[in-house]
Amino acid sequence: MSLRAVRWALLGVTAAGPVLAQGVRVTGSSWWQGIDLRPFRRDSVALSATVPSGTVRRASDGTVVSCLEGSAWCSYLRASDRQLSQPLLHDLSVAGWGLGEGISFHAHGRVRTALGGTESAWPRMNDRFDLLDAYVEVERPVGRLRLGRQWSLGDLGAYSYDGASVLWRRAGIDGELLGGQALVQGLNEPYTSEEIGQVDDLPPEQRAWLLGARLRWRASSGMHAMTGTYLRVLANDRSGLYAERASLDLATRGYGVRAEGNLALDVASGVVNEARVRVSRRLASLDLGVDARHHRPFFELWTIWGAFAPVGFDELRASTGWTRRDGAMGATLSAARRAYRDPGTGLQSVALRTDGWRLAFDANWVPEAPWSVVANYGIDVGVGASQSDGTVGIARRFGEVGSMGGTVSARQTIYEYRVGTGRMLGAFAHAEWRVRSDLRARVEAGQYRHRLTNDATGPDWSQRRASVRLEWAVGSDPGMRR
Amino acid sequence: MYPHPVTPPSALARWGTALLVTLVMLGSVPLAAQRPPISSARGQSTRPSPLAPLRVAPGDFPHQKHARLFPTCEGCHADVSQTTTAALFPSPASCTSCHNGTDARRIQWTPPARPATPGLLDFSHQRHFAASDTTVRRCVACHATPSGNGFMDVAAATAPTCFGCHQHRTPSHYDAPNTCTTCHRPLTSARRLDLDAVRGLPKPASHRQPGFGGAHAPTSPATAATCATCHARESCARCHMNVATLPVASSLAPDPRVAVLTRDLLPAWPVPDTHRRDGFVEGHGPQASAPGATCANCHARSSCTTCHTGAGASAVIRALPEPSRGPRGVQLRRPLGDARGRTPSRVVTTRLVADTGSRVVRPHPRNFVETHRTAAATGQQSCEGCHTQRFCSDCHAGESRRAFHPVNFVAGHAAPTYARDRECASCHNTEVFCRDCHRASGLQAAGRNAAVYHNAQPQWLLQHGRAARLELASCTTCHTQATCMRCHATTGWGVNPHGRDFDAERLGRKAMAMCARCHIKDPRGSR
Repeated sequence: MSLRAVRWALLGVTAAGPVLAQGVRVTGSSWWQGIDLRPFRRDSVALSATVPSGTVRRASDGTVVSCLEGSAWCSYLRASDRQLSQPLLHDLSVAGWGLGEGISFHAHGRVRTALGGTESAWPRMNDRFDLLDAYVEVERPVGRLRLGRQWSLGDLGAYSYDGASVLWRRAGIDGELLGGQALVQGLNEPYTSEEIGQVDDLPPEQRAWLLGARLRWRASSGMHAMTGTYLRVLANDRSGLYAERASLDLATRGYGVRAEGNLALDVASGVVNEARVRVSRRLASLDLGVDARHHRPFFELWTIWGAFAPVGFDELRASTGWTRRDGAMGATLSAARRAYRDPGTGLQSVALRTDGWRLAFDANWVPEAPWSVVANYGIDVGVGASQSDGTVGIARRFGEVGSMGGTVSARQTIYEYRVGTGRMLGAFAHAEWRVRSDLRARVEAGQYRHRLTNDATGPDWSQRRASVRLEWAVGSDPGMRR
Repeated sequence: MYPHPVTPPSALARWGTALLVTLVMLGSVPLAAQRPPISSARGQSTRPSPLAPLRVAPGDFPHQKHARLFPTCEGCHADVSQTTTAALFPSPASCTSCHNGTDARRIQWTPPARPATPGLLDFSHQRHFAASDTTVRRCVACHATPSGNGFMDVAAATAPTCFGCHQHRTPSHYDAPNTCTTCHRPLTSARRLDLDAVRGLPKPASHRQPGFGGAHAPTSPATAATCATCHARESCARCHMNVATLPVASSLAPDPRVAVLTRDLLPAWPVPDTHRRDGFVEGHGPQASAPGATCANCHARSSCTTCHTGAGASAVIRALPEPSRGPRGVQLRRPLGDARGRTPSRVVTTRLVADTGSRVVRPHPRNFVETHRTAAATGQQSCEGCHTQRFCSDCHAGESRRAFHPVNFVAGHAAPTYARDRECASCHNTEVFCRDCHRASGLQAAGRNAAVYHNAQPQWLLQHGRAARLELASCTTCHTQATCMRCHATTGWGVNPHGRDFDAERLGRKAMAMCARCHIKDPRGSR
């Protein structure tokens, strides 16, 4: 069955559902944004107007330019004229139940439009409609069956597919089998989607099938749990794999200590993508935690990136969070250090960092019931890019009716692989109005001033920005409130 | 204690005594008439005429004057051991047999009136006479005055007299383990007490102790009966959702006075110690599901449905009461947002309503949104108990709301992306989402050899391999495969990009199509 047919079939189910169901709830949201952008534009300057010699020179105004040998012109990038982008996204989700014991249906679609301006400035605007999920579910104490477009959420991320999943429960153990036509992770499109073709000149040539299994155990005390997951994305003609991954997750609590572990494997490459151990403990008002982690990026096998042998890094992180007993004040402090493994390649004409560190502080305070103040500061120095940024915000609530507040922020960015060092100051205000329990509006507006330093070439991020978001729901509440 | 004559006087002595008393009284009448008037029971006095009968208040009977006349208490209080109050006192006629105006001055005395309704004191002469202890059965054991001036120097018993036998086990009258029911009947039976009296009942010090509210459940029928001394069913219903099913509460009778007094009192739901323990909020599911769970003491369905919007805990929640009136149990609600400008749906902090204070309940540790991965993946916390899948897809489906990242994240997203502080691929397809945006903003190289982007590094091309190995995922947000294949494919310059631990054999078995992108022939050899 073609994808289009599947899509229409699922839409048919969701359209017919409300007629038959005892209860239906429709939730919608519309999000308009107005964003000023000044994309990069390639420009040139005469070679004679640059100094000194070599392939990298400076123009008379100090701009760094690139001069190819033999050319009378040097090129550089600069911010072009201001463009206003106004994407408008609509999300609509439907849930219906009461078709029979434990039978319900769910659908979630997204429409991308624009109120004008440069549409391409917002990602994925060429895809006007996405069906994120649309499935029928039969839920019983003994298990669950889902049929349609759905998500598989877990340690390996969010995989969506058109197919079926069967879950059964028995004495603290859940087992799940799933399978169907695979959709690209994070894209909700088949592997042969034009969207990939538009940004990559070697897109996958075939669709794919997703097969997976998950086994989950949870102690009756709720103190210990473990999950094992295996996923395989198989090319349509079964000639090869697009992905083969497995994960193991553990969580346990005892004596006030909470321990968690994750292991994510790229089975096809025999590589550990993620190995993490986290130990945390709550001591009175303190949340203490230590993380040890190894990370190496995962790439699907329809790309060549996995064969480039990325090295990844090891990281150690410690964090402490404090919350006053009444919750009116809290703070978090965390620090991390990471070290990259030896890449074992390339010349070192300029030394590149092979380590990094991070420090972050975050605090919130509720001086009086309707008021709240938040502040955070973070500094992240590492491979590729570094930055430090701080934010202070204040908000006032108006009971259940709404809230309003403002935030000021400052940020400095330093890039290692390119010039782009700059500072940015910004102010941002927001207001929210809950018209009814099922109707809510939110307005945000902000202005940012960006100043590139060190003769940097970079996109000018100085801009005004605004957004309006409307959320609503109609129909009965699928919870137990009537 | 006053020594009571055990042996009754002989008949001769009785007659002799009676004659003597009569003579004395006859002679003393004129003197007695000149004495100040006998105060009434309420302290009011009347001045009787010499011929008028002397009015004697019910409680002012001069026992000592009659000490020689009546050798035993039972002579007048004949039925004291048989009934409670009906025949506790002699009839007025028994007085006028002597005080007839001839033998002795006439008096006007009526026995104390029997209360129409019972008070809080539950005293029974009959029970005391039935006691096996002969000491208790003696009237003076309770009625002798402290001065103890001989037989019939008696008065109404006071509470301290009771404590002589019913000794307190603590200094305070009101504290456990003193047993109220020894002397008191349940409040609901003490109908003589009016509203003010009930309101004025003292509050024991124990009730003010920290933690009392969370641990006051009676542990035995005896302690439950103790509660009933001052409380009625409405006392429990003020806070407890499940009065109808709570054995102790349902054993108490309703009382209209308590109903009035508790009508305007706010319920109090102190946080039990168990709720303060580490991990309680995350792990309360099994406790709530277990037989004999006590959640309904303070919680109704609406307490749970603030968070539990999913189906995971519906069976447990349905078993909770849902009162249509009166207290609705501990109420939790979500704040509308915080000063970060984050939208409410991702703010999981809940706050108790004002009448129970502003304590914040934290279902998850601070910054759980960044660390929820394992809890969600393992199912240690049942996400479905509180969240619908839409809650997850609001973030993991990306781009439709600014829910996860802070304000203006995009302007500074490079550093956290390089550091993989958060896995971008959990929500975004980095091939398309990032490259689409980078292309629109002019950052993508798109195959041009402009060489200005990395122009801080004059020899970038020679050293880019190190950067690529370190942060290949970031490279792919701008560069396409074809860009790299110009040099790294066998159809190009044939520069080997594989690292030391590259397992060509393994990858070839799994995805030969990937190898074929760069290799014209099977790179594994002759196959």
